[in-house]
Amino acid sequence: MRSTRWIAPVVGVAGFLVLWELWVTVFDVPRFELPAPFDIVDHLLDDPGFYFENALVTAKEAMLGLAIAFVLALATASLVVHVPFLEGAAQPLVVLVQVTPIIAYAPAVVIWLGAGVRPILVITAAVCFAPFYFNAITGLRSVDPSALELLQSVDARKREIYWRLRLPSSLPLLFAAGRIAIALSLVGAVLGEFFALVDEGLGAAIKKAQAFNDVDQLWGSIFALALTGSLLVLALGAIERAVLRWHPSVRPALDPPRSLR
Amino acid sequence: MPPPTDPVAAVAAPLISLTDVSKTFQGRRGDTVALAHVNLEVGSGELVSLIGPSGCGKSTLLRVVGGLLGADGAVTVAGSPPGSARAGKQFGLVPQTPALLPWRTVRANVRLLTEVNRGAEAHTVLSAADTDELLAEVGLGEVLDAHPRELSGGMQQRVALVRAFALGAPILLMDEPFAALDEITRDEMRYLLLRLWERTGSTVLFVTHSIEEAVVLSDRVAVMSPRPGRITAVEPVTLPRPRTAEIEDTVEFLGHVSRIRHALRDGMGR
Repeated sequence: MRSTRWIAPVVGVAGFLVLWELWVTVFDVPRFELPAPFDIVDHLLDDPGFYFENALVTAKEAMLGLAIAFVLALATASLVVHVPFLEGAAQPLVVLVQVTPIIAYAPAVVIWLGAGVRPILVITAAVCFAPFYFNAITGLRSVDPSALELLQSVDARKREIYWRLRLPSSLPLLFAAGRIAIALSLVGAVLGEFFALVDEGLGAAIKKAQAFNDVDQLWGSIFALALTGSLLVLALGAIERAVLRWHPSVRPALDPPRSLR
Repeated sequence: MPPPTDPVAAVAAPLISLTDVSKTFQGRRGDTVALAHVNLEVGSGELVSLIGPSGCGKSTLLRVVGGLLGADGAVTVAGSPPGSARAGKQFGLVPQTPALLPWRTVRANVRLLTEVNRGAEAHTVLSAADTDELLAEVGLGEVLDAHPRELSGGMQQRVALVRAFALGAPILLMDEPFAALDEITRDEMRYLLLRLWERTGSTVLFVTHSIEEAVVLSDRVAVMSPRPGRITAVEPVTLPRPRTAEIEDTVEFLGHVSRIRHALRDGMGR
């Protein structure tokens, strides 16, 4: 049964593309307005190197920004779960960064830091921070109360409780945040490229395509972004399955207890 | 029915001593008196059960002894406040749920408590080899590297027992450790616990709501009344040791069970 799980998603995507193709063909939509999906794929395959190189640039920016956000968010969350005052102090700042539309302050970041990759990383890290931060706080707190009491019964240090109980307990939520952050990191990277006056990356390619009305390159870049995002999510899923082998979300009740074997 | 024993349960050289201990929890809807004027002494090497209806404060009392909760009155463990006994890793806690860390193997779970607060190790901690041997002895030799989710409830609780014994702590605090297990497994666990305990000489405070369990295990059974919890009777269990399942068919056993049952009913005001 397990080996056929991929069928439904593939049918879903293929069905969507076929409907799109039919729509364009039946209503005779001009190619410069909305190209048919198979034309876009054709175009992608004409020059795969161009899209691969630009996707690599954008993916690197996205992952680097995401990593910065992850490290900062986990460090901050680890601090504030032990110092409630700091949590109260940080709360409005994190919410402000989260609710202010990134597209509004992206130009300001570019003016501040200048053109290039630095503002892109800052913008990407800014959009990824909140999901990591809030999930880390919840995760670090969501420990088994009995296990916590057990460690306290031998007077374990806060540091020992953090490394042995809090951090591992937070991993499932951190991975959940990671899935959200991957999508956001691509938003941040593409948006950063729009404003940061760079030549490379799929965001830059989209901007150029729009300027020259190059619908093929526009849609080629969009498809390449979709593929990049999907691959990143799949990679994260593989890491999650490896790291969280012990967690019920990874192997839901596949193995009977040994006592029943 | 003979009259219940003196509720002020004193022993000659107490390791754990509670004098006039009360505990009140402050809540939004007013205060809850969990324990009221509890007096109890537990001698070194003794196994004493606390028995009482749900919510009578027996788990609270265990936490007060373990230094996990503060209380009014005088509590001493080996002559010191419970907090310093806790800091010195004098307590091996067996909680109601096994509280195993799901990302750790059986072996690593058993080592958890010895890994932390290492400065406090004044007593004999079991070596890794001895721990493995103990795990094998309780029937877990085949699953040393398994994760908790691969184990049945009874096996998980056996890991929790070994974890407490591996610490080598002189005092074991057990909070209804077998309450969530099925009857047959519970029965096995009682005698397994006795086997492990009899050769360590540790002192055990064992919370339960099963009368039979209390009688099988204990040197003395302290009966508690419903909230606010008080110790209303102490039943000394005179059954010979080592105990096996056969004692459960003896007249003495049934006598103990009956006296505790009556003490519980008296405490409930029935």
